[in-house]
Amino acid sequence: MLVAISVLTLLVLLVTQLVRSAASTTTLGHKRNDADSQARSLFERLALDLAQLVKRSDVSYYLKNAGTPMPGNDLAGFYSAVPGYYPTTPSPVSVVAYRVNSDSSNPVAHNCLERMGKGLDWNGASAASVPVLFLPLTLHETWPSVTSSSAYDDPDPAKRTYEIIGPQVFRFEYYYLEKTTGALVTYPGAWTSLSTVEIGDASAIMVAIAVIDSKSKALLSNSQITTLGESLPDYGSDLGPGQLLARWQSALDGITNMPRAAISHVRLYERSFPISDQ
Amino acid sequence: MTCLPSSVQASRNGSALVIVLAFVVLLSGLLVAYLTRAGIDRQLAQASFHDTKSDLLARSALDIIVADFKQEIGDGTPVTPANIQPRRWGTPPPGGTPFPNLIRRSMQGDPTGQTSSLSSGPVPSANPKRGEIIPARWNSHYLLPRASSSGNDSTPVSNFAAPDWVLVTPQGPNPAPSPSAVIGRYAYAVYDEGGMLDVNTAGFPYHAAPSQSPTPGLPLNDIGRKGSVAFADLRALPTTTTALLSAGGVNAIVGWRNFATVRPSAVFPNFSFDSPVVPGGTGTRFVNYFAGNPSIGLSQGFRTVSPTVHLNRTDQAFVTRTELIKLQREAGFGAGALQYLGTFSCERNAPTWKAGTAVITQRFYIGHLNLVTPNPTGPRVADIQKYFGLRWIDGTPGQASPPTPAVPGHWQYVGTSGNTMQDRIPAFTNDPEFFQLLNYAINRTNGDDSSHLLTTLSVGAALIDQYDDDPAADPLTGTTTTMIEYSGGWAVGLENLDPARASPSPAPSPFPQPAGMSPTPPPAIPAYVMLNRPFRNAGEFGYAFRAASGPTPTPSPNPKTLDFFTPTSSDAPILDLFTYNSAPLRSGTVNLNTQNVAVLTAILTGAFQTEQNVGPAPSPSPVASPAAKSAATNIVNATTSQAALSRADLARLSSSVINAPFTTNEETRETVARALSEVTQIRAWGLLIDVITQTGRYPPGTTSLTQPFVVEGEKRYWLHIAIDRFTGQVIDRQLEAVSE
Repeated sequence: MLVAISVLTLLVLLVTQLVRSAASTTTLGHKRNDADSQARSLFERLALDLAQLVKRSDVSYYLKNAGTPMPGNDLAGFYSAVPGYYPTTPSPVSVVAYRVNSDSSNPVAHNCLERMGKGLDWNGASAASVPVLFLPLTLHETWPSVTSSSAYDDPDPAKRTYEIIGPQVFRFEYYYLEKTTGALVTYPGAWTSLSTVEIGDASAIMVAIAVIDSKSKALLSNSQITTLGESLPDYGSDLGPGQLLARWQSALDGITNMPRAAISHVRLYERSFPISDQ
Repeated sequence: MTCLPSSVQASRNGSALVIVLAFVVLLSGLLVAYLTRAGIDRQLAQASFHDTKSDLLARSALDIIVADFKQEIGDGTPVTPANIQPRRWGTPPPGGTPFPNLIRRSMQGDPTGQTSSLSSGPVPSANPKRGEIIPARWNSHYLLPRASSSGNDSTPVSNFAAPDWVLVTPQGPNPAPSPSAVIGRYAYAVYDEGGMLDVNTAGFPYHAAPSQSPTPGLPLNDIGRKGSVAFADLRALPTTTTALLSAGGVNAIVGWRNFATVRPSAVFPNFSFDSPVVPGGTGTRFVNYFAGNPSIGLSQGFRTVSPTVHLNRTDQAFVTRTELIKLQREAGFGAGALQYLGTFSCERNAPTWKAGTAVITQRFYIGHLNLVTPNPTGPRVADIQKYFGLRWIDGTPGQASPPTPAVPGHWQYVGTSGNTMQDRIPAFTNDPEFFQLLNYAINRTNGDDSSHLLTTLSVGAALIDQYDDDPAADPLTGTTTTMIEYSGGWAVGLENLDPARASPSPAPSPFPQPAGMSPTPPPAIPAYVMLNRPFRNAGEFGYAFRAASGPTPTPSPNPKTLDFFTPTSSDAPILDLFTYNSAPLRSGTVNLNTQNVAVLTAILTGAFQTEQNVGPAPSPSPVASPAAKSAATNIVNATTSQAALSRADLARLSSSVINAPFTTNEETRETVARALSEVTQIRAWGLLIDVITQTGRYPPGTTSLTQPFVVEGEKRYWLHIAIDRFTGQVIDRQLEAVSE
């Protein structure tokens, strides 16, 4: 009897260990899958938006430049020939914007990556609905929310065209491949202000994100995630390919005041999006 | 030892089994859940990977296709009528419905030597399988003639053959690879977008008063003088074999496109516009934008939209062809019209006609003629010398005793620098002034030329007189005739009305008192048509008197004017060397070698055959679309048998038009040159490359390429590209990702 109990105990221990180990393995796998899925879906959405980017010298863009350097999380706003929300007589062009929401009073979206996909009407379709606007009318003056990391495009939540596209993405940074020099740059040299952003100066946009899976995210408070995001430095033109993520990883490795179990599951991704017609 | 009853033993064994099984189920569940999730993620990752792979393949395919065109340009020197246009292949054989826009498609045996025998179309056609491209998809841009005459079905006519696949291996395209080596495939068709009307500039609005037929919403003389593709009459575009594009459809396009400029009333797509007679209304604003304000010329390349803002709205541009197609659906006009409308065009505004060693990189801006009025002051003095080589000399009053005639205020031809009168047209290599360019065009020389000095200066003076209005007169003698002194003589222009001429102007004799003047204006010629207004295009130079005999022997030898209607005209290069628009790069011009009859028809429709067309009810009426269509057909036939090398060929093409009202006299014959000289180009190949790529593989063990190809990713692009035929340089390009 004693032997049987001992054997049973041993078996239970073994099985427990096995289950724990299996659970641990699958949890780790799930976390990685979570982060990978998040990054993949975001990058694919970005790829679609940027593939249909309206590339003209007579429309405005809200992109990082010397006059709008965007420390920390970046903002991006542009016209893209993709469907958007709520136009009455929908034209094929929308205003698309990306941001990491910084509003700590917004429990749903804070520290999440949001995308605005505002469908635009045909020109002249109505006095109320705004179509694509060409210069001198600018994107950021017409839709000021693209310049904000917290404000929405409509006070009525039902009419807002922002949606959370990356609930686990807390850091969003982009830089450019300059066409004339072939160099990676924070922004092309000619982009001294928003009015000088000429999209043809860039061959590609490189987007880097930091993702924390939902289980690990639960270990951190929102303010800790904000701090975590701030600890990941901006791109600098001294960095070569892959060096931004390496710098981010170093920064993560140096963090000691947050749970290691969470920090160690922050995953970093980077992808290049060609925007040139070449 | 006590043995348990067998039932208890069995029960315990059963419990153990259940426990073990439960653990197994638990572990299996965990494992299955994990594997399922991992499997889904893997599939998503694979899809993403294949999407990226097909995107890369599409871009590579486009590079290959563009490289073929560049190679063709590199191999095609010198430029001749046989190679000025891209080679065509894969077009339907004669007898069937022609495809004017189709330049080529990937086809087995094509000159690239890279295309397989596999059609991208479904086999059999009624039963398309995954990866096969049905004809309606190939024509989703509506660039081919449609089988249906109604609705939006894009299925092309039955003689369309789908492009063949180019099979791609790791080593590149291969027409007959081993199935196991194939990693993807692409098929393509290339269209002559440069031979279509760029809808970002073409077309003007219509006004429809209640119970009236729509009439042009701008003055007919602006339409009739052309000078911009905006004055092409889009109502001449067929939507079916029997119907033309409606005024409502045109208004939807123009009102949407030029919303801030023309300020339509009502809403998209049912815009309405002012009557053309409304001062400052639609017509005025439209003409001001497309012909300039004042209408002496433009520096606007129309590559960006107008900066005008109205009601917090701007003008628009079609950013993609997809947008045009969606607008057509929304506005409800016939889809057949899309065959003639493009959204991309670009031309370097430089001549292609060449003689001698001259290197002319920019056409001469006709608007400079506005500088040349008597007694100039300020910066105009330097500009006139820069652009015309002229210097103004004030007149000298005559005296009674001894009798000395007055010398009228006049120009001296001194060249672009210095004050010494020239005894020749100076040699040049680049940046010629007006007279150098005229001499270059007419006499084919850019070297020192003293033998044609008088002729060239006289033609130039006549052009200045045509351009300026009657008040442009010498302050001393009142003569309106342009007089140019050179070392060794005088050249004079020609005005119908000149107060300094005894007849027909009523002037005292001698005039001016007391001893007359020298030189005097030449006698008036009754049949000479005076414009006394700025030229709208180089074709209107044809109104200028040509002092020397020939080359205008028939049919109207008196008066002799510059000849833009005979095939051997020596004046024809002028058409290529001057421009109403000074923009170095511009959109909105049409390839003169287009095979699209409807495009030329739209441009020619509404053209004035004579300057006397001016008036509220022009007489004779402007060119109607049936006559324009006949003319356009003849022009297309002429360029098909011998392609134009420059706008100078417009004289030859004018001679090919043999229908009324173009044949009455020299002026009506030159209608073609006037209508087309500013809005056509030869230099750029404007192409739309439609490429579909599929990544994937043949299943292991496949022995034949005709067996099903496993498609893993697909991408379609429309590349709009303008390549300079003469330099091989890509002038502009726009990559449009097609989402279906």
